[in-house]
Amino acid sequence: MNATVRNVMTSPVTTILPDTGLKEAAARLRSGGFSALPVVDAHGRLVGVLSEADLLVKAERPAPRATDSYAGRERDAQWAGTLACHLMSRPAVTVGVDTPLAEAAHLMLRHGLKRLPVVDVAARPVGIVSRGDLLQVFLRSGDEVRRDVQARFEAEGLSGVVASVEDGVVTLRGTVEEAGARRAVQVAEAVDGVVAVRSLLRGRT
Amino acid sequence: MSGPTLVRDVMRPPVQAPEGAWFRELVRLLRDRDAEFLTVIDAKGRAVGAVTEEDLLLKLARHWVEDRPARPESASRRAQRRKAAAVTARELMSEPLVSVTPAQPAAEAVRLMRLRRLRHLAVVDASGWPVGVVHRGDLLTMLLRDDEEIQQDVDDLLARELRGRAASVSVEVRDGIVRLRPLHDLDFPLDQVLPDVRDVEGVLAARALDGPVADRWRWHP
Repeated sequence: MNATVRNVMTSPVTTILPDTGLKEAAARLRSGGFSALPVVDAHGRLVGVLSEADLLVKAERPAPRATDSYAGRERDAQWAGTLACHLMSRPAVTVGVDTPLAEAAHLMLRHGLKRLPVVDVAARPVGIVSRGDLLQVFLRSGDEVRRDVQARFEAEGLSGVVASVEDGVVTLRGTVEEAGARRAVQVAEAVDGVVAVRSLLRGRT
Repeated sequence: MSGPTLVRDVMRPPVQAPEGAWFRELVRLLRDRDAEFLTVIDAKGRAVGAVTEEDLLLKLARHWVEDRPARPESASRRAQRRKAAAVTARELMSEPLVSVTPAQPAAEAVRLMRLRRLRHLAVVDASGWPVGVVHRGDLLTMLLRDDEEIQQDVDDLLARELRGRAASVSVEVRDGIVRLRPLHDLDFPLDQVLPDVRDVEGVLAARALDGPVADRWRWHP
């Protein structure tokens, strides 16, 4: 079986409440080295995501400074009054622990997101998954990839096909039916960590 | 008044990848250097293209990218399919490289990113060597400017460009948005100074009002 979000996510995850102040949220982001925090309601259910980018929108307006002017005090009040729920992105795009890595990647690309919260069936966040986490699947060892490819060939009755792996690129050799050759490429491409498939298969006549 | 922020003030060190590097090497580079953007270099070390974390992610989502080709296929869609099938940095990279030089004002980098819809820009020197990378997020710190400071810079700019006629224009800055208003009928179009006003650090938008006071609420985009 291919890896799912469960295998690559960061867990457990730090969450904040909708009424968390921005300064505290920024501090939690920084101290944990996170780039986004899930925002949960009193029941622990996800209601949004507050990211660095969301905070930066606020930072475009000056942060409070030690100033005694009327304008300064007004800015202070504005900054102090902004809560996580005012800036967070919602509804949050989420995945489950069983979501395939490819689907998570597709969601990130389509929505232009750098990370996705992982939620359970009750919408409670259980982890967070980043682009970098997903890409780690390509760093599997060549041996593992080859074993996986070969095992799937066995299961598909393609035992005449021999796979070798170099730096994520799978080369197929052997003699099979033409339909089998096409199928072998598809099967190999779907294995985790495969960058590309090169077929040197010969069709049986 | 200190000079404008330059690209060299906000850039990070470049992470370089040889154009012959394979996919996995690129993934490893991003992870080990904690980067999102790779500058691809040729055999002589000159910057020739760029690979982002997003480009690499296309490989994982190739099932979606490859299976549903839109017809007619857009250029960006075609590029996505090419990247999803790529193995080497050369096949994967976006080219020609969109870049800035270290001595350019950072505001020009902001404008270029907005125009080309990019989150990163490579920084190259005059001979084409990679010397840095600009992240859009890093540039946001430039926006931390008071309206009073922006106002001062815009006033100085108008004094330089319009000379004696600067006194015929009122400048209002609020929340980084600059509004120019003629105080009486002008013998020149106010629009001509807008591009330079938009380049003043911290300016989010600049608009010129049509005529004298009576027209003050009619905006030009």
